[in-house]
Amino acid sequence: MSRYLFQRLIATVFSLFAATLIAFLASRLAPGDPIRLMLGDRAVSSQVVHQLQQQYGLDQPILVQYGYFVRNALIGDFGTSYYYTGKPVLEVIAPGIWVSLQWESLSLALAVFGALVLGVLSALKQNSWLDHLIMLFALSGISLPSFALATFLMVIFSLQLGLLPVAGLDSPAHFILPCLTLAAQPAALLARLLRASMLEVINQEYMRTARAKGLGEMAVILRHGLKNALLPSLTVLGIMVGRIMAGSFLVETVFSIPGLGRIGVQAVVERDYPVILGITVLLSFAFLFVTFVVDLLYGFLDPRIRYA
Amino acid sequence: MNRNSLISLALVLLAIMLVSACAAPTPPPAPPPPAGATVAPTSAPQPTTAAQPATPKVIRMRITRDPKSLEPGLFSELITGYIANDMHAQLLRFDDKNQPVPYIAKSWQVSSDGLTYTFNLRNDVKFQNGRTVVADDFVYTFTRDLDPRVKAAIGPTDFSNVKGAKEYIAGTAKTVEGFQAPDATTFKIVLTQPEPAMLMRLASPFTAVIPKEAVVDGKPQWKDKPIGAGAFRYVDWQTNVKVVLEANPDYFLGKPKIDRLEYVVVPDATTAIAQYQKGELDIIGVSGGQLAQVNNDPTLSKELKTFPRAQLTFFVLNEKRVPAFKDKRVRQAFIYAINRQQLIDKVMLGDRYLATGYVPTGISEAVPDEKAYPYDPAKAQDLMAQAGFPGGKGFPKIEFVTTSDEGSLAEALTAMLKSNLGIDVTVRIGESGDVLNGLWALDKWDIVSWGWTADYPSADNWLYQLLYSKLDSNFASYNNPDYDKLVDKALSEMDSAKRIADWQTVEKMAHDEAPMIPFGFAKNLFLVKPYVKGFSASMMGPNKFENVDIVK
Repeated sequence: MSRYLFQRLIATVFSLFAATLIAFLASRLAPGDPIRLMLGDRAVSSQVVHQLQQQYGLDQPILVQYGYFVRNALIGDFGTSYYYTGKPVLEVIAPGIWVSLQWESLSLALAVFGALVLGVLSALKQNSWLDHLIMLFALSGISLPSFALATFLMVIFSLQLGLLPVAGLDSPAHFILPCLTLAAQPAALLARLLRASMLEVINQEYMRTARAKGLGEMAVILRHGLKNALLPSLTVLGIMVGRIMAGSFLVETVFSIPGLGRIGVQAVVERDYPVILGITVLLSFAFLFVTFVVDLLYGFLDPRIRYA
Repeated sequence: MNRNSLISLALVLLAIMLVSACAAPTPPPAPPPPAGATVAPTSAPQPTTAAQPATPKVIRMRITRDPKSLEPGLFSELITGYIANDMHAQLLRFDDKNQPVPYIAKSWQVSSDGLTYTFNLRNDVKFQNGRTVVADDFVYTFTRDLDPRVKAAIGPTDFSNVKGAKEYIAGTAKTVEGFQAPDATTFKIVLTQPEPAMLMRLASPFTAVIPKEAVVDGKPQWKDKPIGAGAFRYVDWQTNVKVVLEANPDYFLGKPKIDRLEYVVVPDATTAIAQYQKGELDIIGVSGGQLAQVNNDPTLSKELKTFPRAQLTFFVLNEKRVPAFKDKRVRQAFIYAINRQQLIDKVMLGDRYLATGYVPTGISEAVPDEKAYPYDPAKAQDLMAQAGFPGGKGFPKIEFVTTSDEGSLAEALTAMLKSNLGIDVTVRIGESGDVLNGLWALDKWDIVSWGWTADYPSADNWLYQLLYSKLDSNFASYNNPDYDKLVDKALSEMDSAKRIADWQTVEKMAHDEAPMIPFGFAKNLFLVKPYVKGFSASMMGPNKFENVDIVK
């Protein structure tokens, strides 16, 4: 077990390096100069631009810049934001962490709960109208882009019915529309997966045994059926977290949510390299951590899997 | 711990997270505005203001992104300049005719050589911390703007001609010789060469004054909260959510009529309109992309307010990339071949006025009754034939570059060039940072659609910055020594009447030379709720909210 943990730790460190290197190169190689963007419509001579580039260390070769980044990041210094002149990156990102954690975990819970209900129901009522309806929903959930869903929900629930606020995160009611939008796609994916594994489990012999020993149908479904059907879905959970984090970039922009996604989008538009990298490190770490926990949990829940 | 208890623990943790997510809204929870209510505060009245009226008058205005900073010298973009305009005060400000008039400075004198500016300051202006503003504060603020550690964009561009600025930036001088405070109410600026735009620069909110004691020494940070001398004082800044200001009771021109001003960050335009319709926002800026929706809505179309804006949109004809553009006849032919009025009316839905020339109407140096080039395909073909490209024969294949919000413009425009001039133009849609980068690289785009907004309302923003041969911002690489000479003369003319005449001469030459295709003079479009009274915008953006009121 400890050897496995050690291997995973090493792999995590490598993955983090790879993620930052890719983010670093991608942001630097993308056309667009942060200094020019900063200056906007100002007839600034190239001398002044060069002077500012020097101040920001942008005149150095890319790999040297990356070296500085790694060296400083190792001691927890991610530099200062270009956009928020002089503000440390961690200070720029910090308020977004809690916001994203709150509403994204809520969305994840909603997605899992929704998928459980829909997936089990449609498996139990296989080929009924309910099953078809749920799978139709799942299919549209997968194919409908989230900005379209967001607009649709906004028009119906905020403007037409007047039930919910349009944007922001000021009150619990504000969470509903963005969480629904963000949860839809992962919920739909998971529901389809659950339905398939439920169908497989339903015909297993241990299910028949459970019924034969006189257990109630609910107990059979939940304790024996769902528990086993959940195992394959557990691996998907890590991927779902990734999807939720990626989806938040767009949904946070549409609903004006001040989370990491919004900060990330703005940083990309402004070519705020230090903030882009800070967010990359943070999100990669979060994703790797979740995948790691899921893997551990998997072995824990399924005794057939052993780490050696 | 057995497996079941671990699962239970995980479930409990998840439940706690969910509950805390629901129960811990970052700002204090606000009751949703009752249906039909026109003004509702979004949060409880701030404890800092005593004796608030029963329902505070609050205006919530959309901004498209989080401000860079609340320090005026660190702002460099228009949107967050709005906030500086309300929080801070500077030496001068603009009147309705876009001319600098007294603000903190009661009066000023310019020496006959144009090198020394002397400002006589009011003695009743107080910072929001209660201290009186003195001349030394301007010395401190402007010196700070030049401090390389602060990385302010404003200093190196606006104060580069101030005596001693270069030495200070280089670190060979501890103070800037050209900023002087002989006594508490006299502030002097000494220049190394005349700069008629100086007064304009000092009327922009970016040159507002800040108190030394509000700044952490040497670092670009405020000690606790930003302090200015303007009509509204700082209450709160929630990153990426909103900036909240409240009326400054000690404002030297009188307390504003509204109690609170909230600048709400709403990046998405569709969301902003929905929030406006629902009553969550009182004023929002609208861009061309939303005009179809606004025009088709009976309520929204009535609440749309239009103000001219100091921005020129244009198509750069890059002489470096396409040598044929060095021929004036070719450039003129391109203008004649494009039905700009139709593009503005049908494709851009009237989000801008047709640009008659390069200096937007309303700027004092604009040529009165200037006539735009008409749409005249026959003349265009004739000019092309004269230039050696009859029917477009022999003309190189070129590329039209623009950003994604102008995709349909690109299609319509290239179709006109094809049918009227017989020229093949491909379209490249780029991300704005990418397009901007190529623009400054000078040799990347053949024709590119772009806009140029003034830092201050004066003709040199366009006629000098965009067309003077020695500047990097001369995107067309237009090079005409005669033109440069006229610009030099206008730039150094200190007499304002003569200067206006000089710039009009420059504009007439530019109009005839057609170094770029002027497309539109921009509009500032706002949706304003009917209960907001007195909201207006100058060519530089929304006017200060000090005289805006809410009347239900």
